[in-house]
Amino acid sequence: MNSSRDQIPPGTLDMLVLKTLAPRRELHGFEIAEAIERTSNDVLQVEEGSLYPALQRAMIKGWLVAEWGRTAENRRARYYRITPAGRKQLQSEIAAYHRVSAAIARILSPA
Amino acid sequence: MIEAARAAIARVRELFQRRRLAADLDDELRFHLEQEIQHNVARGMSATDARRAAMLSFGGVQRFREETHDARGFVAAERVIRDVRFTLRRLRRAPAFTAGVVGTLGIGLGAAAGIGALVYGVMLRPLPYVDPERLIRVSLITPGLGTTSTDHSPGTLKFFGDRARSFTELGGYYENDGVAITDGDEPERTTAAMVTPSVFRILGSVPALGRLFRDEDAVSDTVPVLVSYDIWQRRFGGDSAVIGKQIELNRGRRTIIGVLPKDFDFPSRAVGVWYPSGDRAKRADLTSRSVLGIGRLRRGVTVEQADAELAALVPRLPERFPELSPNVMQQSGIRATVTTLRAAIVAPVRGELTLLGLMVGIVLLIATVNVATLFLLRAERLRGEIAVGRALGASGGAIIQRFVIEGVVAAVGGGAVALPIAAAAVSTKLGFTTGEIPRLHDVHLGGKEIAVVSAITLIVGVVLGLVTAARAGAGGASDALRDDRRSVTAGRTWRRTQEGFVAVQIALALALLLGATLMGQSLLKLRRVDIGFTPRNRATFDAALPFSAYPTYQRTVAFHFEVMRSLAAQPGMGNVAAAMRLPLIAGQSSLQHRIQAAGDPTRNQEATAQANVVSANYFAVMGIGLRTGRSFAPGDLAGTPSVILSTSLARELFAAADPLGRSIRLVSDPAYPAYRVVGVVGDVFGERIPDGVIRVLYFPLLADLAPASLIKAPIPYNPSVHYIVQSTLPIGTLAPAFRQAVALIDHRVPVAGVKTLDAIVSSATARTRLMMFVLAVAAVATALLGAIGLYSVVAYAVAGRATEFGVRLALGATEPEIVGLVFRQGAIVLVAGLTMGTVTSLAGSRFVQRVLYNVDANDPMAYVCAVGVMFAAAAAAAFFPARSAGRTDPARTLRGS
Repeated sequence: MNSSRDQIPPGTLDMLVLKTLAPRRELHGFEIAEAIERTSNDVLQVEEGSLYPALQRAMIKGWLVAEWGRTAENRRARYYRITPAGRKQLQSEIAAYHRVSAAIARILSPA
Repeated sequence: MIEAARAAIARVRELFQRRRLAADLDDELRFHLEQEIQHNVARGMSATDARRAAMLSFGGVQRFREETHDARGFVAAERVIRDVRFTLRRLRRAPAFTAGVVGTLGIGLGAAAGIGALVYGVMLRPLPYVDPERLIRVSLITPGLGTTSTDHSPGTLKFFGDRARSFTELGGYYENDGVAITDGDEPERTTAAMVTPSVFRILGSVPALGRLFRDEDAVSDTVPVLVSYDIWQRRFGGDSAVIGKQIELNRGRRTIIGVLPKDFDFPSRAVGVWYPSGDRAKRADLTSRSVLGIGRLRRGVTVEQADAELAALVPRLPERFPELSPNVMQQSGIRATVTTLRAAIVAPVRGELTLLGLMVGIVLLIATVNVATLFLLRAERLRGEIAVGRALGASGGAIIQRFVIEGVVAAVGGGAVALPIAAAAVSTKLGFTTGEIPRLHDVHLGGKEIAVVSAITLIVGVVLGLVTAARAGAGGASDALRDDRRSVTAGRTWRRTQEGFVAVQIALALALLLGATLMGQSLLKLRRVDIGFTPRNRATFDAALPFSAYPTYQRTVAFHFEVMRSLAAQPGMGNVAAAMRLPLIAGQSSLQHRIQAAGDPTRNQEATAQANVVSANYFAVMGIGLRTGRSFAPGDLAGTPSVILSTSLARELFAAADPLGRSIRLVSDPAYPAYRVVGVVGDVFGERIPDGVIRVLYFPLLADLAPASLIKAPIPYNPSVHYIVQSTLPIGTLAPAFRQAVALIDHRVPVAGVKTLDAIVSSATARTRLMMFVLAVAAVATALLGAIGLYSVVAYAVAGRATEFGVRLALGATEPEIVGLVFRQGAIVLVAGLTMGTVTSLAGSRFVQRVLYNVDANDPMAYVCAVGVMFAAAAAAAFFPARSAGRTDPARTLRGS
């Protein structure tokens, strides 16, 4: 376990999951975690304990749908897909994130 | 929208597919773990290390599962459903506990709801008029005139109405129950209300049809009237063309201008027609007041302010009524008061209802305390289980939730039992009748009442749960685990609490037992009272004659004697008598005459008495004993008219001297001649037995009134007469016979008030009997609950000390010694409870005194009885566990430890 890796800031996991699935991809949970970690150059670490609750939440909210399918090794796995509502949510979360991080940046940068 | 619907469907589906969904999740997590391991292996770890690393990064699978599940947002609801199921299963497994809890709460809540609805409906429910809290009663009292009347005269009411600024306006009304509706085939007696037109404006009433009174109606020559919805339906077939039609009332034709709404009940439910009454009075008429005053407070004016304003206006009464000399003003002690209309209406039954309310509170309190005891007892048993749960990580919230749900489930069960009990209490009105209690028709078990009961039920349930949780979860987990439930000391505070509960129960039970004993004594005294007449096989009815058709004394007397002859000719009828008033009938005039013994200057004694006018055979038919002299006889009205005195009146006027042949005068009406006393008869009561016997002056009702006395009858009379018939026929047969006998003489005179004298006597004690019954039931229930409470306390203590008893027995203690040891523990609680109960009862005796008859609320015998019964019940309750303690098998308990 690599302790130098950073936790995902609270509240942003949903956004990252949605973003990962946004280019019309169907991924299972492990792939999603892997994709986030890889895309962030292994800076971000996805905790399983946060990922699966987040996926369940997103399904209930209607942002994601899931289907059971087969992996290349013919192992049963649940594949997640983004819905139009999920895309809309992603847009608004990204917008909000940019607003917030720009604001934080302004505070941190010496004026 | 669609998304929301989908989400909702997903949730519902999840609720149903929980098990499969959980399996799915497990599968998915397992898959993730496998992937993680593969990944680690791919990075060069050994299979074991890869697995361990994956497991570590995964953490406790269980926690994830729960968090994932929580994310569904359904966990709370799920847990509640699960806990309810658990609770039901647990309760099923403990049938004795469940029956105890549900039964106790059911009785407690049922009694509370039933009696509460009654008390609320009669005493507290807002009156069914516009803005009812501003409606007030204005009363006039004149203690110096020897009357308890609170009525106004038209003059005084008008005076206050003109001068007072606290009210939008004042109005007055009175009722006359002797009005006959005489058109159509069947004449009908009804009650008329004479109301000032302002009354309807004050109440804010609207008619169902037509219009209500205007001020000019009071002086109109056509005499417009309003009729009740009931009369409109029955006698006019609900025809909307009734407005402008005529109705024959007491032989006079009146024009109907409006119909009151269905539930309109002012001044009372009995009213069938309303007449407009004017207020052209020029005199104060303090001695003949019969108008009840009502008014509406101006916005922002309080009852106290209005009361103060009227008090300030009283000294100015002589400005309008010069006959009110300073002397009269001072002697009469005249005062004007303002109270809320609701309080005024309820006043006659406040004593009983307050007592009932108190009792309900006690019963509910006891039921709750008792159930709490049962719950706590269980909590104690569950302590170990809960401690294990906590050690294994169950959260405090989950434990509280579990017990609260348990409490609520039990309370809801109790509520379900309570509803039919409450419904029965309300539908029977606890045996009260409309005549005894005002506003009784306002009593029902509607949505509001059920909502209140449900709320109380839930509160009781939640409180039970919290108390249990507090007890079961108290102390650290390790404490509870170490406490292997053999130790006595661990539960000391808790046992104190429980013993306190039981002591309170015993105290309350004692108070109720005492109340029931006192009511029982009252009832016995009432039953033993010599009512002064023989009610058996006698029935009565009355007939009121309209003045227009019977304008003279002789015409009415002739009618009465013809009816008596006609009655006697009917089959199955014995002797028939007539009287203006009967003992023990409510609602008769209580007008008092002042009487002076004349002719003896040395003894010029005065007394007040009610007048009665009776036929010569009245005393014989009623079974009222003739003490001395004779009854009336033909010729008694010629010359100096004869009178008969009741024993109490004779004693008051003549003390020990022989009253026969003496003469008396009416001070209140000097126009009447002197009368000669020809007899003295036994005493009877007025409207109520508890008010004591009344003094009565009897005048003769004779058929042979000389024509010369036609104009000025020497006796006060009232055109309404009660006939008394000796007959063994059932009342159902008598009623048509009475109607037929009267119809033969005048078919437009309705018959009313058909009753047996037995029924009259019985209704005179009805309220006392009812209060005693209710108190007795409550007392027995409470005593039983208290005894059960004591039983559980002692039984619990015995269970906790089994080891100790085993050791003691093994070391040579005898069975009686152990029994005594345990018994003493119960005795302390019992004595504490009895002491508390005695003190409470002594403090509360004034509430009880009001409804007692000839019994002192602090009667020592009643205390001895109640304490004795409670003591016996409690001793029995403590005995059984004590005996079982004495029979502890030492070998078994010692082996157990």
